[in-house]
Amino acid sequence: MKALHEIATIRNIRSMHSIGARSVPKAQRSPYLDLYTLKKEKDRLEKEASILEKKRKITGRLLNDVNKSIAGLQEEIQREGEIKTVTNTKANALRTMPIRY
Amino acid sequence: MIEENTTILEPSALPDFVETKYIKDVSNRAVFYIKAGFPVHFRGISGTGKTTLAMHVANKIGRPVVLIHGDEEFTTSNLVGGEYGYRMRKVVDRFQSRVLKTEEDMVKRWVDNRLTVACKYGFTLIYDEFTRSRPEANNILLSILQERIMDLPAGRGAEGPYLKVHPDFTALFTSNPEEYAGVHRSQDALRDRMVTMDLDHFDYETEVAITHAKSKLSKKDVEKIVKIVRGLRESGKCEFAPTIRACIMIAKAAKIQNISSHSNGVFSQMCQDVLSSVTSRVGSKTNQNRVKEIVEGLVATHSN
Repeated sequence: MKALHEIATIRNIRSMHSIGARSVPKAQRSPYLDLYTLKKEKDRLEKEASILEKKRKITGRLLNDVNKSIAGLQEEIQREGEIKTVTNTKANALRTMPIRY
Repeated sequence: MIEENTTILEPSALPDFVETKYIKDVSNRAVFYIKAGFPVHFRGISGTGKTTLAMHVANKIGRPVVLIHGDEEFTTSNLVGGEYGYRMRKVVDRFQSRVLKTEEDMVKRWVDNRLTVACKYGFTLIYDEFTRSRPEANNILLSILQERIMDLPAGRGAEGPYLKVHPDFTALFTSNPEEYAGVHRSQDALRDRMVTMDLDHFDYETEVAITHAKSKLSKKDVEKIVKIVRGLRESGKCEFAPTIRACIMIAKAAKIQNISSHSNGVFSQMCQDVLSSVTSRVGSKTNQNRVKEIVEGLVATHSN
């Protein structure tokens, strides 16, 4: 079964830009237009990168919080278990006293 | 929930405990009977070392000890256990903030007593002066000693009405057949389930060794004291025969006052004080004079 990051998304669809397909014949093409479209694409990707960076930070923080909560709860469960064990053995632990004759 | 409110004892001999041939012989025989699966009953008059021997045998067995002293006020629950107080439990459930769910529970608290604890864990029970308890209080012991099962009240709860006696459980009993105050006759059925060893006064060698060890008085003086006490005992003229405790009393008092058995006046007076008090139950003048006369004669005889 494929993991989530292995599944193809909309980003995997090839676009006009990515394959470099153009409707203008090669002889009539101007580098200015290419420059313009590439700049547009660069801006878009930069914006996406900054969004992703922000998202990564938020996700990291949330992950940290969740990890802390999990550790706290696990500790609490363990402590409860220990208290139970102590009360159970307390009933069985008999006091001893030396007696000399 | 069952609680056990018991302290177990670990017996050990005092440095002045002496094990003479007589003591070794009696304790070894008792250990053999125990190993054969029978409880042992030391029966004898006061001062014959019943309780100390029971402790010594228990020490030889090597299991923790539970000690019970027979008492008129004892009932079965004093041996087995009973309901002491309550245990209350309250749960407030607020899992759903708009719903309050409470649950209350109150149960009686059962506490196992010494006999139950001994049977459960296979300890050695020393039931000292068991005839001081009323015979019906000791009924519980019949099934414990024979069928190795213990009947318990339903109130004990979880573990059911029967308790299987641990294979290591052993019992040592002591009783004084001549005691007339605050004792009951032992049940035939109970006595029939145990090996009764009748103990008499210690032999001369043991009495000297014990008195010497307890008082640290010179051996020669101790021998003289023991001879006087034994002489009075064997005369058969006193209401109650003096025991080894009288020897120890005289020897300790002589040691503290630094009196030798050769200083006849003070030593004789001390012997008369101790022996006339321990040989009379009511303290009649006639008895006192008779004992004093015999003691005077014995002191004179053994001083030569």
